[in-house]
Amino acid sequence: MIVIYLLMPIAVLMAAGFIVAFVRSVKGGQYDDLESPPLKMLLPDEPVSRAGERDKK
Amino acid sequence: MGMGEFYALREKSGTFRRASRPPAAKAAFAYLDDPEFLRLYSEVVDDERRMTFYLEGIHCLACLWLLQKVPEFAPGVRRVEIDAGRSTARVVLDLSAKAADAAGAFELLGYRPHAVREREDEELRRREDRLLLMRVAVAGACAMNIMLLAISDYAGASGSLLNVFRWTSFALFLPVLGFSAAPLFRSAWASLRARSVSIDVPVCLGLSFGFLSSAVNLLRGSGGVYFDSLSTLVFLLLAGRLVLARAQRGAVERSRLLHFLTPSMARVLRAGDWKEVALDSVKPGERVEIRAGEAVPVDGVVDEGRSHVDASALTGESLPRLAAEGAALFAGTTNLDAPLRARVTACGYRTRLGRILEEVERASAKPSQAARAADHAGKYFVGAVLTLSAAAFAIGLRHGPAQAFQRALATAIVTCPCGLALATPLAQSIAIGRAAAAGILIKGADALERLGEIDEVFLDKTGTLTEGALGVVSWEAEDAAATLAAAALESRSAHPIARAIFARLSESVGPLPEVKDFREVAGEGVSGRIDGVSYGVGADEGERGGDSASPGSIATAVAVTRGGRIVARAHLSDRLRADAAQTVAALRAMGLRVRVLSGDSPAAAAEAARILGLTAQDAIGAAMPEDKKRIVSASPRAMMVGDGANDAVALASAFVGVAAHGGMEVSLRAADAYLSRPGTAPIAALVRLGRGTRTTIMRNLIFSAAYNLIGAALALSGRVGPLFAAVLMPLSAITVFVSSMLGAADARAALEALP
Amino acid sequence: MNTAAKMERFSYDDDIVKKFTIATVFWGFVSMLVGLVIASQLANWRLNFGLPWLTFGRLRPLHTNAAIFAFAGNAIFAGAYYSTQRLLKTRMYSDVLSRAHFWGWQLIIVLAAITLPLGITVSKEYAELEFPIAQLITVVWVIFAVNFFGTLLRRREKHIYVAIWFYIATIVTVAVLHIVNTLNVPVTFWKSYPIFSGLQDAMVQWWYGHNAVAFFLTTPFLGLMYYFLPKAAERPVYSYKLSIVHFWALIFIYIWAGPHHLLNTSVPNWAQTLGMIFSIMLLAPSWGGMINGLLTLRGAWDRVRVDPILKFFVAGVTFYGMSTFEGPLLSIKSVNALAHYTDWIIAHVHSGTLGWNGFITFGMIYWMVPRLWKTKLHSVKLATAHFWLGLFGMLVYITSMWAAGITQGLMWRAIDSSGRLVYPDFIETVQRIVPLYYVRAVGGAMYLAGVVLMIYNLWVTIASAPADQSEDVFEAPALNAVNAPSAAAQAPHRVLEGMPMLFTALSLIAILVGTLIELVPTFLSTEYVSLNPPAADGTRMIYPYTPLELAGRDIYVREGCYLCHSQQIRTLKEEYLRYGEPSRVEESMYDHPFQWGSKRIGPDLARVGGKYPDLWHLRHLNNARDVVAESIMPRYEWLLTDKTDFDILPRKLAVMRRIGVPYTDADIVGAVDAARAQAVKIASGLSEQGGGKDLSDKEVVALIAYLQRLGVDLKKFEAKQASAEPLSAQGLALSGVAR
Repeated sequence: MIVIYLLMPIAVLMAAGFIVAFVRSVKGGQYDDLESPPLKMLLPDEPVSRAGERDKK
Repeated sequence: MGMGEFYALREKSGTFRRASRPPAAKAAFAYLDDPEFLRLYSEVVDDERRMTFYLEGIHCLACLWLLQKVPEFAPGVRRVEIDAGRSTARVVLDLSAKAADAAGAFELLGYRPHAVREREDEELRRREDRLLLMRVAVAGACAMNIMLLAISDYAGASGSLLNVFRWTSFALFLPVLGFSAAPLFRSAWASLRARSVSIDVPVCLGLSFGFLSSAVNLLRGSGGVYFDSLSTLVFLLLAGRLVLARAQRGAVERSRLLHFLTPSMARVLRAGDWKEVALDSVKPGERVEIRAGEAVPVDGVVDEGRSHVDASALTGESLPRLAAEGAALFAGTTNLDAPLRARVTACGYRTRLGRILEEVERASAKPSQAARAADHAGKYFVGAVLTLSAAAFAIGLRHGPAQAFQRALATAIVTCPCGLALATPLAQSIAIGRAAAAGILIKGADALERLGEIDEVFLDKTGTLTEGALGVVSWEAEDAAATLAAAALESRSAHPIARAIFARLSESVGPLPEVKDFREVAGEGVSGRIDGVSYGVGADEGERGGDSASPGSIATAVAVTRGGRIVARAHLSDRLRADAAQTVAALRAMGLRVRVLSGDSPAAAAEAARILGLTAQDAIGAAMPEDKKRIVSASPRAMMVGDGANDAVALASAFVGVAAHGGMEVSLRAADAYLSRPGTAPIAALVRLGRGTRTTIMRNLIFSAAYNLIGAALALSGRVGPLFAAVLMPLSAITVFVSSMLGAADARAALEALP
Repeated sequence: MNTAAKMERFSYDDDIVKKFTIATVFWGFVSMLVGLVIASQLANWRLNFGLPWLTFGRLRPLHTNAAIFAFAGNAIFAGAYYSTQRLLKTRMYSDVLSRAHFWGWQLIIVLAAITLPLGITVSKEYAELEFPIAQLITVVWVIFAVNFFGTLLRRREKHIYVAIWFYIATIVTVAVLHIVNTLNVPVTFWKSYPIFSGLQDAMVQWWYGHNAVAFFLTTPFLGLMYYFLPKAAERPVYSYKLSIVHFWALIFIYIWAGPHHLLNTSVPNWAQTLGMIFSIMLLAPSWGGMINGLLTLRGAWDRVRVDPILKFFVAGVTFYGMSTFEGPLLSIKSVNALAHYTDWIIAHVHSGTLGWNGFITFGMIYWMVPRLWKTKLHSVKLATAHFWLGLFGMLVYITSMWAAGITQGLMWRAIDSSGRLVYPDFIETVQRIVPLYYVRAVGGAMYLAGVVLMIYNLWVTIASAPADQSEDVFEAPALNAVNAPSAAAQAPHRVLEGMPMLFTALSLIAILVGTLIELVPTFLSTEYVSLNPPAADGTRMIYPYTPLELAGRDIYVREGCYLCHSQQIRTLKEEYLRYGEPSRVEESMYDHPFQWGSKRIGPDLARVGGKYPDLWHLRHLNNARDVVAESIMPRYEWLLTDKTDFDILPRKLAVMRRIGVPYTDADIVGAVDAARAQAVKIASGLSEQGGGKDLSDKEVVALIAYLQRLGVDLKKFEAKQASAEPLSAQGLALSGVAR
């Protein structure tokens, strides 16, 4: 059963990695306002113009 | 701009309820660009200026869509970030742009903007929120992983694998102890240093005790390892605190935002012309102009102009007073019909309103009973836990040190008071959350607690029991011409009585005839000639002073004269609210003594009391602010409901102060709770909620106390090991949580029944 | 319009989404067609047509890989590319990387469609693709990751919506899963052996298998649900807080899982218990997602009656709830004892894939295609017909497999009062459920018919699209100067910028894989020494395969015999009565890769060695009906004609030694001669019994050698022990044998 010595460190590292990701996202202010995002994602995108002209990809 | 899209979106998308205030008169926003004002209310970041506005009336997806459009048609506005939760808009402008344009854009779209000063503690509080969230997440993640490793342990893993699992759970426990549990240890240490003992002390005791014994077992390689139960304990406690903090912050946040609605600008004569400046920069001795319909920003003496001033908010009198040269003007009153100019005598905290404000702040620093009670209980509880653990250790010694260790640890864990710690605050925060959702903002858990203990209620008349606006109760006229003339005359005057009569007559009357040489004499009434016949509308001499028996007539009688002869008679009163009688009945059914307390004439107060089914002694009239304070603080367990500035001091010094809907900012700040809904029904619901929460807390305390006693007994006798104790302990927290969620059924019903 | 504002103009790359959408529909049809073929092959063996590259053993991996990686894979990429750009209000990081990802992925699918029917497989379920393709998958996946995280860095929307977090979790997790499960040492270009063996390989495989389902078929589709369901219902998600809580709860406990695929086997008991409890705990996050999805439709339920897209989403989320309830149920040891190796597992798999993945993908496509091609869907009635056809077809499929699975489970375990098996012959069970295979095929056909309706519907829709397909231009304020590079970083630099990140990632992975391959084998073999100690007289319990048996084993792997025959006797009474003593960990310790198998369409082979004479096997392989009248096993006549590859054997043994199998130098050098000698011996035995002449160099002889070796070592070892000392209280160690 010693494959655990490979799988378990991977699992714990993954968990630690995601905890770090969570802490950084909290610091980045991702969870300050949880009421607007679900509404904002519903707002329809209106194109400014259909022409091929765009100054920036 | 595709408004079709706006309505389509609004209609389709779900809307969420938001307390929105009635739209006030259109105000000029020039004062926003006053440098002094900008210094306080905006911050400049490299090449852009950032301001925050509180927008009234954000309630659906379509509003967001509309507000995203603002940068497109408001010059200089770069970006608008909407926070739907706090209904605020952070606006980013070019340095050259005018803040007034942005505010004007919001006003144009129908969302009344109010500049909000991003308080220093705002950033601090947001960082503190994030830190707590991080602690909970780290504790949760580690607890879950440790639990999985522990399952392998309990399920029979052995040998070197078991060792690896235990060391890994030890490693995973360190961040929980070091980072997540830090606030628990800090508060425990602080309370110990202050030689009192808070609830956190036994929790930290259990944690460190458990950690040490697990670490020892780990090193010795034998005996139980309890990182899983300890990390779960930390996770549950912190998660409870997170929920509590979020619920309370929501209520306070909303009420704080609503308070930012007083005018913060004044029109001052500077260098020859009238300029709008920030209120803070006005100095005594300058000359101030107040136009019709505006609130008076400072105290002063009128030196030009003649108009009626509505002082009901400041003094509680429902009748507007005349202000002419030489009359005193007070901040917080509203100028009604004509522009006035005055010389400033006092501003800011030195105004009469300001002095009331200072007194309110001093009186409202009440000690919070709940916190004191918890500390008090905590001392005894910790004593109990320590002695019990020591006893368990002593008893256990007979069976050898390992057994002693186990029992002591089990006792420490099982008697950990996290059930008790959660009992009171959890029930209160859920009640506060529910009340906030129903539009009743309770500012603190202790206020809710005191609400449960009141035995007497004082109700302010003007604005609380009555609608606060004059209304025509009865109208008798000899012929249609008289009614037509009255309507025509009254349409020309801004006086509240004139407006009330015109409002009543305008529906039934056709096009108004032309009025020649119209004259309005402040204080006496109006007169003019229609088709050659002279008409006058003024106070009904015959009825002056005496109150006729017409229903609810508390104010005055008015007569219409044609050529000196009375041809029509009207009675006006400040009508009682429809649900006032029902609310008073409900309060008395709850065994509360209800009394009316009003700044109006004693006769008016007695009349109102009679209609509400109370006896004469239950009505106290002509009560000045100082009288109200004395009366209210005389009875120890009284609840005062009012809305005017004159009630502010009473609200602050009452056992429980409740500011009614539409009240002055000062009374909102003084009160413990604020009803953001019109009508008196919320008052009864609030009392029921207070009592319901008290019974819920009682039930919680009984649950956790029972659990602790039984748990301690089992642990002492060794029948329950640390593992089982660790399972029992969250169970007590969960039962307390469930019982708080259920809350008092009738209180919940009352809240839901509100319109 | 204002001038000074830092509004940036950009447009979305919808062309890549169109490509992935078309690929999804095309490969969806192909994978389901292959599914229908293999389903009918189980119902009627003649449909294998006796062609090697059409038999069930080789097509089943093609079906699973095509359905998961081609159909669901392309659907995920289409949905992710569409939603990520709109949620982050920016174009994908680099069009070149997007195209590289697309064409790379389609190349992988084509290579799989070629190699799998040719029998080139690693035999690890859902990871059957051989070494070169596996490396290509890693490269393409890293390209996708670089492109995705680049887009994330260049976003113009501060908040990262929950759907994006689900995509991030998918990318990171699938990368780790794929790398760890493809740690193989190549023998030839198209043949490699995994460094793990037996129990270790089983654990790694099913850690990968469970989480390939979790992180390739669940989290990305939850991401798609959280974007497309609110968009289609025009309602905000029910509780955004709940979606975040259930996302992080799912991600934090990413501890190893998968033993619930190995319950009641030789896996240690504590691991089985942990697997069971972990799976039951998974119910909470999964149902968090379902509840959030369904309640998003509050107030819009009347539109579900009219709008087929909402029908697909509602049915999809409901099936997600059902299959994620059935999963934890199946991972309870007692329920698993009945269901493991039976068709009930197939019902669970297909309620998840056809129901959840299929319907969410169809809903997404019907919603996206009209918007991508700027036209209206050709016919809503046809889409609704597709829904009802698909739903009914799927219900027929699932109920038939439930019936078949439970019948198998009950018949295998039926024991009469006298303690004997009621159905000792395995074929009796097979006979009883063959009719249900027909019903399942019908259900599958209906589901496929629904897809055909969709293809026609979309074809006409796209045909009617307006000519001008130029990209719309959008405008959004830059987030802040910091992360939005100035106009100077124009397109040409973008590609070069992307490359260094890509190469650093690739080199990092190469190093990681390299070290693992070096370190782990030596590290693993230590355990086996302890498991298989030399007895006093120097003999051991288990010996490695002889060269000929190894060659036979590779044929067993090539033909996919593990797909119908398991090699793992469970610690249950009825299995002891039917197959003998439960399998022990040591027995499969030299199996690179492990062949425990996950289905028993045919009987378990762990102890088949010596049970039937060689001639029986020869005639059975040639035509199973010659020896078992009602058998549904395809015919394998080409084994009697194709020649065994003896020359490669020394290299195979050398690689085996490197990954821990104790072959000596002499074994490696003499491999070919030993194999030929053993082959001649078997062949002569066969010809004496009248089995046909000069078969010694034919593949059938090698396969027979391997089959006759299964389970023999343990019998010999116990026979020796029994004779050496009286039968100790060892008795029937039924209560779980392994450590």
